Amino acid sequence: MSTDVTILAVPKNSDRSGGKKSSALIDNVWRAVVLVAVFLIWGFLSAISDLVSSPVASFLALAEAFADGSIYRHLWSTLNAVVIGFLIAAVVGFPLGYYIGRSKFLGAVFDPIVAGAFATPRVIFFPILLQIFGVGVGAQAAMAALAAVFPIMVSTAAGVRAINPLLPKLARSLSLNPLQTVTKIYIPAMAPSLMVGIRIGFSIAFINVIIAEFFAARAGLGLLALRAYGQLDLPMMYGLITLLTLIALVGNLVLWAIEGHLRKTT
Amino acid sequence: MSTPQIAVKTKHLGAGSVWRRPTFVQWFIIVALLVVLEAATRTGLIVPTLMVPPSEILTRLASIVPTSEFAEDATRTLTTILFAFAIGVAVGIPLGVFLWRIPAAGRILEPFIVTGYAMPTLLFYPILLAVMGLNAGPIILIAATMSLIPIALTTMIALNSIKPILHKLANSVNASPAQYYLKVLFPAATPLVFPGIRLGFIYAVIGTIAMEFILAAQGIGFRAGLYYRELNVSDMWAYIVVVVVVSVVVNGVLTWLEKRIRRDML
Repeated sequence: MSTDVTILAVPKNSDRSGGKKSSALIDNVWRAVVLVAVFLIWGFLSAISDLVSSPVASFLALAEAFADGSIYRHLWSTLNAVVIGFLIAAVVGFPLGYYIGRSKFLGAVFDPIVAGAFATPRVIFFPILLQIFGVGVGAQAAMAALAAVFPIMVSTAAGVRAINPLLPKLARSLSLNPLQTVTKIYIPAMAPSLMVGIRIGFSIAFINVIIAEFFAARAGLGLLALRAYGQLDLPMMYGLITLLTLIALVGNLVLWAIEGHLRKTT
Repeated sequence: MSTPQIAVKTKHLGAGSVWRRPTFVQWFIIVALLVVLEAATRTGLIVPTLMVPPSEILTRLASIVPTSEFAEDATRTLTTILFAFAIGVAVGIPLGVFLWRIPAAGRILEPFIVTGYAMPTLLFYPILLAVMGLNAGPIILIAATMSLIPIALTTMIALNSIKPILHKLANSVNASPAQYYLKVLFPAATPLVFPGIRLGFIYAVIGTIAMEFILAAQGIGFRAGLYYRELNVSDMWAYIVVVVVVSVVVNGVLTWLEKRIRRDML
């Protein structure tokens, strides 16, 4: 049954990501080569410039922060804010995006408003969030939620609109109840575009939490980086940049892989 | 697009009612929001340290806009945005073309470029500051890197989705490489690339204002952050309104352009 439904919902843009097992392996080897090349360039730059600390020194500084346990409070605070904020954005954004996508009228009313909100730098509202939540994880999480909710709404609405019109008919002909229609028909059919929303939402939530921590925070990796700048602690600074980039890269790669997998199977 | 269910729903709303007109409902929502905020701030439901009445924000705005300080900030912000966007286009489009010409490179590098969305490039600010000096340079560079990612990705996807017959046509009429790019690829890809260009511009705006907000010493974003720190709530809100209006107008103009281009080209 479920296979019949999902075959109807094959997105048109799946031709690129498809490939054989062996070529996927070669691609991953090349991706590893790119990473190594980045580190080599970094090492080269550190040799010719005083402004760049060497990769080894940066990793040692980072390892030390992990060893003496001073970094955990900040890491925890940042991840907490990203996860809480993202969850709030998902809980609000998916249903709203769904209704906006379902109804032509609601789409006509809210599409421009959502697009306008998407185009606004939402960090600018951070002072107001600080007034409401006080300096701390609450304000950072609220920032992440505010930042991630609009991309999630946009891609959910786009996903609903891209659903094959046969699927709702199928749902009616099987006399599914509304809950079944959403869980068995809409969510599987929309899975790839929902994943796009999740991925972009995660990215934007993450970057906004860091920016917000730069502005005002009690704890967080952004605050830690700011302190490292203040003390001109270059190795720590580069260590933190690497750590944040790795978090972003791993988070993105995982979501990207799930997305590719859904594209292929659905 | 619309399922029969939706058609039935809209019929129930009554023919000829203004409530069916999206623009009317949009303006109603905006005006209602302003009225509610005005009432809530006047009655003290929203404390004055959080928000001053919208009418007061408007009078502050009217006295801020004619000042030379505002003119300087606005010029600084707009030139920064334009430079960042110009670099984003100048680098993003060739990068997209490269990723399309060498599909293996596109496949291998795509996850890294996608990670660019979550990359906290602002962490490089102190280093850029040391290299480039205390001017708009570092912010331009950071905003440009944010702007080029959507441009490069959509350029690659657009070129990949050009109909194969166009390549064959170019071959069969012996088009020179210049003719191939200018007369075949450019017109065919433009409608598909434009959403990426639009997103690139929006990211340039967001990047510039966000960076000014936390780091710079000049610009519209900087003022909003400054007045927060000075506890000058009405001026802070005036600058927030400026940012929101600029973003919404930019988004509106780009959306309008996108519709025109699509009509002309397709």
